[in-house]
Amino acid sequence: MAKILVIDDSRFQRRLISSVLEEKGYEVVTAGDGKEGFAVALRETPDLVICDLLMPGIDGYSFVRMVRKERLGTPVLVFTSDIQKTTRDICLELGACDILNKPVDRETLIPAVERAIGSAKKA
Amino acid sequence: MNVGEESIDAIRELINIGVGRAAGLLNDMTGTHIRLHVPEVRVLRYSDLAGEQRLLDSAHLSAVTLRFAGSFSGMSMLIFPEKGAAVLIMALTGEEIDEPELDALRIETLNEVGNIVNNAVMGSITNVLGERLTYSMPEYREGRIEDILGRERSPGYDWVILAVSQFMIEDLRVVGTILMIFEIGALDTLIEKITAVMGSPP
Amino acid sequence: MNTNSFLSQCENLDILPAGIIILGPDYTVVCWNRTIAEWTCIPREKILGRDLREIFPHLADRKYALRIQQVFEGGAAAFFSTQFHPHFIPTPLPGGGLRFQRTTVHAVYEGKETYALVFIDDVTELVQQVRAYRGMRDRALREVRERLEKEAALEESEAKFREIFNSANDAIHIHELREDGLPGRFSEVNAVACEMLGYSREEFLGMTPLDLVQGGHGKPLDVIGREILGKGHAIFETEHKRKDGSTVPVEIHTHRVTIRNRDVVLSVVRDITERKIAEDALALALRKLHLLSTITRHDLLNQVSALKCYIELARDEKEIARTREFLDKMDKVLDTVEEQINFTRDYQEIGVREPAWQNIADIVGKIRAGFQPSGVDIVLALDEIEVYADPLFEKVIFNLFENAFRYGGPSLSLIRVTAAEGPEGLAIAVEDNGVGIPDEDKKHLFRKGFGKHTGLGLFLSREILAITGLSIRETGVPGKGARFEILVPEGKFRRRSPERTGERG
Repeated sequence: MAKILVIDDSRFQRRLISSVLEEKGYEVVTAGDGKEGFAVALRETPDLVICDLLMPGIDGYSFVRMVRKERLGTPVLVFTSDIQKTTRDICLELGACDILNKPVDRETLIPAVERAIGSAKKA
Repeated sequence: MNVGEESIDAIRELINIGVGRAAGLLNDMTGTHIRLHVPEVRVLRYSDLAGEQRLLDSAHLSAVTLRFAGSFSGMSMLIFPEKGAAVLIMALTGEEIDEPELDALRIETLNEVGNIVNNAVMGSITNVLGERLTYSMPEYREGRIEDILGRERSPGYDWVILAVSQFMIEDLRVVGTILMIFEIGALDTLIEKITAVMGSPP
Repeated sequence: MNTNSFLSQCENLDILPAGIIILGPDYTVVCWNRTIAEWTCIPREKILGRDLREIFPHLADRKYALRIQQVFEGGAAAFFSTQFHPHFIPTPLPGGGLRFQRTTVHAVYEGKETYALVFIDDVTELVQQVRAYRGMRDRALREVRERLEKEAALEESEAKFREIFNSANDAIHIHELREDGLPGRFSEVNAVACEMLGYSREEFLGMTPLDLVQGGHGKPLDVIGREILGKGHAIFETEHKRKDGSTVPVEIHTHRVTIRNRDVVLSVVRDITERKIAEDALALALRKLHLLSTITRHDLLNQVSALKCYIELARDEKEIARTREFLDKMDKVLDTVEEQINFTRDYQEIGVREPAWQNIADIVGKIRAGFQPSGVDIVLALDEIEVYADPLFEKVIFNLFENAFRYGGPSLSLIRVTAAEGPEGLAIAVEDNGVGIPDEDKKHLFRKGFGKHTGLGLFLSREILAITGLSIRETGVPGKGARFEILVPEGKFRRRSPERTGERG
């Protein structure tokens, strides 16, 4: 089963997402900010990263940029409470594969995860 | 009651969700991108609220309040320094005037901004609570923090969640404070729910 | 359609002056009151049961949908302000344009269903009032700002003016202008003006420009007045009288200006003493050039002709004694030529250096020292007076002494130098008790070439003095002594103040 890295500064949120993903059989690793997340991504080589946007230190925008710059090739799914269309555009422009809005909802999260991992494998 | 870091983390995230949703609505309405920041969240006693220097900074505060009742009762409130409120409204409406001033129409507009934020934050919280509450109409108040809170002499107020949110609209930085004032027992109800949700995902 | 209590009483909502719509969860219109029907011109029977978004598709936009959805889910009322949503349900006004609205959407419950009650207020009048108020306020603010800017600009220009006024090198007078074009009282003068004429500012303010005028103006007064009234400015030269009675030549640029809403004349008054001197010096230089190039040439040619003549005579002369006679004459002619060449050199010196203030007592004292001991008493009766003259002034005095010694004869035992102020100015007299100057000589005493043996000659002395407006004459009595008088007009001499003496010492 695929390995997913969840990056969110909220432990509450990490717990919610992890439980939904683990229930589906995914292997989940977590990180509390972009900096830690990048280190985990290098070490664990996950199949997908689900990343929050607003975080102290290295935020989601910077994380997506770093992944792209370092050519990690891992798809990044942005998961944010910010529902602005402009935010969505910025994330896709930066190289995020998709953007979902909080709160977590397994009916939208699981298909989006499958889609992201599927398209990454094809690429 | 001791409010643990874990609960504060969850409350911060719920408020974040509300603010993010409100920003999205405001963006839809105005076409202006709003840069958000992680809100700073603290939980304190209602009796300590008036001593909050950050809120007392301005003698002219503008606030939009929303009262709620049910299994979970209290009041949600979005507060801006008066100048900040006028700047925010003008940034959102794209008006160009020299002297920020709140007139009847702008107060109404601020009322809507407050309504959007309060409703979004309450929506985020009731989503976790899974309970239906009853609400008052949004109400606009202004003055010092004591004046704004003054009408709420209810001895039933107990805990307060104080969230300081920063919005950047173009080059303008607007700092708003979200206050959630809970009647006795309400915060416990919320924390219980949060704990339950963390244990069993949706 | 649901037929229970409140929905069945929708007609009661007709009496309200607000537009009221009740929507089922799928946006089906279940209530449409008379007001909204009138505003939209959509009768109730045509809309009941229909999805409101079909008729007003903008309501499907996320900015409405998300918030109305929250109401359907039992959330707090959604409030739509006039500024962000002026036309929640677009409704035309009878006079054109659209009605301004303020809308709230509330949740109402009927059984297990949640309905959305849309309450629309007509705030067109409020919007108009606020707009009028804003217009007025903006205009008032703009006016206040403009006035402040104007005041600041005025203050700045006044400050600048004051600075220019007080730091100018020229005197500046501001005086009133009478209707007949004649100048009225001074209203302001700068520090240079006070310094130039020796009046205090307060003394000035009690006077008019006419009180300062010494002689006539360069232009008649009425012409100046007409120019000021007509063209707004005039330029003329005149002389101003100082408080001490002396005069100063000035050039005046006058402008008619408005200061603090008053029509006044601003005059820039320039002391042109120096310029006058320069002009005089230039005139002298021209005269010298003329003299050197015409008279001198003529003189030289005369001598050359004489010389040629003597050479021709000498060439044909057999007698040795006659030839020697011609050679002596040639020698004399050459002496004259030499003298004339020397004259051109001396004459050239005149006016080359700038005139300066020179102390007469110092000069005469120095010359006296050069002539003593000589058996002649040299008496000086001079105050500490300075004279504005060419640097060769000293040579003029020396020449007068030399003349006394050369022509005074055996009776010469006294030379006296005095200075006295008279109506013509200062008279400096150099007199002796020698033989004096015969009347026939007095006529051409100052002609060029007279008194060939002297260093400069009286012609050159007169030229030197003329550079700064000084003159010289001989007033002695033949047989009793020579008396040369140098006249120094007002403004060309001054009494040295004790401080100045102190400085020098």
